Amino acid sequence: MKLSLKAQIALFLLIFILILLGQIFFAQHNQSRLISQFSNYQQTVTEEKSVRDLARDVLDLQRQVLIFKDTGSASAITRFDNLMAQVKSRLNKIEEGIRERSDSEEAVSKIKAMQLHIEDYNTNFISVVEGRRQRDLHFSDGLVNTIKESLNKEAFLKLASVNDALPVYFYSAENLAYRYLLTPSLTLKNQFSDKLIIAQKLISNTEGYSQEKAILNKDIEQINQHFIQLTNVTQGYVYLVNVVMAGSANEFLYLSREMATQSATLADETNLQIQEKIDDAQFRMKMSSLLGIFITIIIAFIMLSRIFLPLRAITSVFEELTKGVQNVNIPFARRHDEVGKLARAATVFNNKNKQTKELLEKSQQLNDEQLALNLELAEAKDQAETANAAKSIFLANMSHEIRTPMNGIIGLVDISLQQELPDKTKRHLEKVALSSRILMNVINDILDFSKIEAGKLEIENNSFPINQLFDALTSFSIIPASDKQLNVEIFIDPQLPTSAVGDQLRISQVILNLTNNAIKFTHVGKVSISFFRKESSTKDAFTLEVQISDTGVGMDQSKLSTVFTPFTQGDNSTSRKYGGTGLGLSIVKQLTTLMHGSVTAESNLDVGSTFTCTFELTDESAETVGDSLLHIQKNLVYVCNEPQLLVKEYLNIIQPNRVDIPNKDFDPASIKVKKNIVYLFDIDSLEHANSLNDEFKSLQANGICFGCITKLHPLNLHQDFLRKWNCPVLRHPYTIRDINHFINALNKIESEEKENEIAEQNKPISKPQQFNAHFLVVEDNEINQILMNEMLRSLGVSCEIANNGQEAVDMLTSDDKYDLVLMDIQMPILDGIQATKVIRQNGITKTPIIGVSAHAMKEDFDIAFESGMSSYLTKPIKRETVIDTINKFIVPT
Amino acid sequence: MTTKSNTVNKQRRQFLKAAAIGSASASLPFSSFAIGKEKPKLRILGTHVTLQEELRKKAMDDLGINLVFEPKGSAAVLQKGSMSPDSFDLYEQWSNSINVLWRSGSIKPIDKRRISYWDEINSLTKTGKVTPRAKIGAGDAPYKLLHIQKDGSLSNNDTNSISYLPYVHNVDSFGYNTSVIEKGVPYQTESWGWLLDEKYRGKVAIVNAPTIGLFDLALAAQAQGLITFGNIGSMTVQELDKLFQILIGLKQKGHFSGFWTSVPESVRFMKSKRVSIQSMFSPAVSALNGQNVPVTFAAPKEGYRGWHGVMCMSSKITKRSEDVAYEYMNWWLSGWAGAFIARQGYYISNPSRSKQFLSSNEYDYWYGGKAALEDLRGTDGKVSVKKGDIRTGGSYEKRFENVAVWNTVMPTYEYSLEKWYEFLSS
Repeated sequence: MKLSLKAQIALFLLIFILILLGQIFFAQHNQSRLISQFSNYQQTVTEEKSVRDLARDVLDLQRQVLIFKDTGSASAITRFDNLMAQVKSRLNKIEEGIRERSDSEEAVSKIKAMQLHIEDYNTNFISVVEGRRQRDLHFSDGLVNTIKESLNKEAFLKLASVNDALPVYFYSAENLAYRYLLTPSLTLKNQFSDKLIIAQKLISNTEGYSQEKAILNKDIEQINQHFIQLTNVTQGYVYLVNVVMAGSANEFLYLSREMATQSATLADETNLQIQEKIDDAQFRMKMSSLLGIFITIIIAFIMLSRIFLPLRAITSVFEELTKGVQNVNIPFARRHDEVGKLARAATVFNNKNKQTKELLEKSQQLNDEQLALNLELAEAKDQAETANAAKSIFLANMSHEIRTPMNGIIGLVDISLQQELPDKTKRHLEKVALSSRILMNVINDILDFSKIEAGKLEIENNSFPINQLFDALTSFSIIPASDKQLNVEIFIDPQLPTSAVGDQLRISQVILNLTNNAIKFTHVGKVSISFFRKESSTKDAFTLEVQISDTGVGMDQSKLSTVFTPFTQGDNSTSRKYGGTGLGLSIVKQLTTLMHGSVTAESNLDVGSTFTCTFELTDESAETVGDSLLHIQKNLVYVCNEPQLLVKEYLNIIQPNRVDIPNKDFDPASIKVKKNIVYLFDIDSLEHANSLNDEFKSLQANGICFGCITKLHPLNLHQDFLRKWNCPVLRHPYTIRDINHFINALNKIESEEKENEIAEQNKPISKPQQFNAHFLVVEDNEINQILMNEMLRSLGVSCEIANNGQEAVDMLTSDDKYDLVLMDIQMPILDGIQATKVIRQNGITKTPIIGVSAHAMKEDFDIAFESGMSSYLTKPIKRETVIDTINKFIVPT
Repeated sequence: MTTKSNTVNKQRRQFLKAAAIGSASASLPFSSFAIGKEKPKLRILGTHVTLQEELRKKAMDDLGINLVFEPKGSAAVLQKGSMSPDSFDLYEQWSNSINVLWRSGSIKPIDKRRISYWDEINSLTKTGKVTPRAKIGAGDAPYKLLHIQKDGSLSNNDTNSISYLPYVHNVDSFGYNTSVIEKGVPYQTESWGWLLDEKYRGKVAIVNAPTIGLFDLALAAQAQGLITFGNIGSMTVQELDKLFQILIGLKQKGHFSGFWTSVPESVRFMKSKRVSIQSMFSPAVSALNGQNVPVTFAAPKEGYRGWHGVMCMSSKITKRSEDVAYEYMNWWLSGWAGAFIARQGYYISNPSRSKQFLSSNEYDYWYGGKAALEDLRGTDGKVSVKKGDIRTGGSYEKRFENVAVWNTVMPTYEYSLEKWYEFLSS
């Protein structure tokens, strides 16, 4: 079967519906046939009754006719007429009824015949009535009257007197006529005739009386004629009644009997037919029901065998397939319907199953291999990590091991340089100090990198004044830039907040690193560092964008792409030319990433590079850097370079009401000697400054305030200015604080701080602070012992040495005579942490213990403070740091 | 004969009306004829047997006269004829009505010397026998009523005055359907008795006319041996009582299916298989055979019931009409009319003159009783006799040798009417 299941089920349903429709049709057909038959039956029964009534009426009619014939009764005529009307009406009704029947032709012809007969019967009865009337007329008016008149006639009396018998014949004739009326017969007719003939004879035989004879003969003739007419009409109507009408009635009754019989037969037949129809209908219904049941069973069987069983089979096939049974026998695949599709789907399923299993096995195998690989990988990773960790530990250890002697070198060189030495020796020692510092930077870089690599570098989030970033930058960048005759410019976005939350140390590290890099790779020109505020997507946060541009050697694109990769530099030659570990930018990159920032680089070979780094910081202050800028209280005239050395972003805040005059357009004569004006000059060089001597003199003479702005170079320009004109000078690179000092000076509000600063800048290196104290130095390294001893001695501090923690504990426990303890952390026998704990446990709590260690990590600090240490110093120990720390605990003398 | 073509009812219906017309026409003067403006008119009262349109046309053409036919049923014709002689000029009916008419004085004697072919008229009405060995036949044998005696009575005693002109006549019996009843042998096994045979109960019909049907039944009862008559042509009251007692008994057993009143009705009875055997007139037999109903007209061994047509002259006929009436009577016997009715199975009283108007085959079949040598056509032009057919009962002579009884008005006629009524209504 090519039909789909839907079509098959639809087909079965259709067959089902057809059977039902067939049954309904048969039932309705049977019913309508039965109704029609039953109506026929009722009609025929009614018809039969009507016909029998009709026959009864006709019999009654005959009775009335007989009554009339015998008595001439008028009431019989009336009865006849009524009956006749009734019969006619009955006939018409029957005819109407019959005409509705289909097979009515014969019956209708019978009715027609009956109607004709009854019509004739009626007509004949009218004739009979007329005949009887004529008979009576001929008898009483004619015959009897004539005889009576004759008998009274003179002629008759005369002749009777001669013939005695004559009246007898007359009377006899009259008597015979009466008898004839009662029972008409030929005999009576002949006898009547004979009597008259005899009478005639008697008359004619009489002699004479010719006149009388003629009268009587005429009378006799008249009497005879009346009698003949009488007999004729009598015969006529008797014939009508006895023969014609009787025949009509007989035929009518025959027809009515026939009809009644036929109706009865028809009724019986109809009845029988109805019964047969009912039986037939019942039989048909039974048969169609049986057929319906049979077909339903067949359909059910077909559906079972064609749909449900196959579906069940397919279902179980699928179940088996689902269970993963292989080599399942799939039936019905050749079928074209849904079952076939299912079977084919099952085949596909089976095949897929097999494929899946194979694939599974393969993948299992692969998985196993993968697992093995993974294991190997894990092992390798572990090995690598272990190796890396070992490397990091090695590096850390190495740096520590290097740092410790370096500490000694730097410390001792530092101390030595404090001594009065021959110039040559001093220069040599200074070289040693510089080299040591470079070496320390290298070591620090390696340490940072290894910390980052080891994931041990943590980013702090502390609130810090943002100005500190600029201050550190200016102080650290000026010296190397000065050495290379480079200009350094710093721009600070006035929109930046005055304080922010972040890791100030690391931000500074990144900026300094990049700035140092820029300075390092720039020979001519300048390095510009710009700080911008950019909006961040995070709430209460902002992005600090720092751009470090230089006019240095630059890089090509291939170098640029690897610039942040560790251990690489611009090229191999770079390291030879510029030195460095090649770790700086890598550290920058990793630090910015750790601070959720970024660093990018743009560069053009021989033009310069721009590094842009960003940091995500929390905005802590509503006050901006711009807010902190002071204002020039007088009108301002700015004779400026192109570009201006004091940028408009600042100027617009400092004094929006001003006149900017480019240097080339400046006419010295235009200077107005007015007290409420401040003049600012961008000064490029000493020559430029000298060219303005007259103007400056004039201004100064008139007590008009003026200030100058210079680049970093020429380096001593601003000092010359200060000396010559004692006017405020703002030198690049300047910070917000520098600007404010400058403005204050212009506003003639002398800042103490500035003065101090200036004083400080100007004062020669002073003698260090002196402390009258006795320290315990716990240090296992002999050089460091010497270094520390020397450093402390230079500060007026006497000290004892403990070679390890245990010694220190012993010494402190035996005699608590020390004002302060400097405790190395990493020592044999008992380390500084443990020793501190023991010391504190032993009740020596007041004596400050300052930890000293090459470990500069945060947790090191934490451990130190936890153990009971009062402070912590990292190696290499610098004299200044030591002094600052001691100052916290010991009052200098 | 009560009817030959029309229903009694119809005849009766027209009874009074016809009477009125008759009296009206009687009062019309014949002035038109006298001045020759119009053809002379002859009014003829009769039955359909002889009052046929073809005959009227032929006679009018031949004679140059105007003929008015008034065909009626037998009873009506007799009634009118006996009571209104002024309503007709000529009267055509059966010999059994002669007594009534003659006694009523409505007809007048015919001068047989004015009948051109009188001598050609055969012996049936002259001696009563067509052949020497012929039976006279009971009842009013026509020859007994022909001659008018001086005393006014009618007898076979030859005079110049005759009561009627002898012309059309025939013998009747019964017909039976041979598909139901086995065909019998003429004059040997075929018997009137079959009509009352119990085998045919419910399948028997009789003509509804006492002067005809009564004799059929009487012959049948006698043939069955149920009754014997002193004179079957003049039954006594007692004989009638006995006969009707038998008949009523049979009727009550449902022996009789019906009583027909016209030839078409008798045809319907037989054709519809309502009856298998019944009183019949020969035209009905011809019609049924023409419709493939195998009906045999029996030649009963007891003899036929004979009938004889009569043409009478009204006692009130005018002199002018009388002349025309003689012309018409002579025309009837002049051959053509006899040949015409011969083709319908009737006989004419002077067959020799009609013979020349018939083919020898026709004459041999109709008169000779011989097998038809070819298909013979009736007056309607249709084949009424198939080649090889033989007329039942044989030749004209053979048939008229075997007349058992003539249609008769018996002295007990009135009584028979009463009994007839009793019979029909039983």
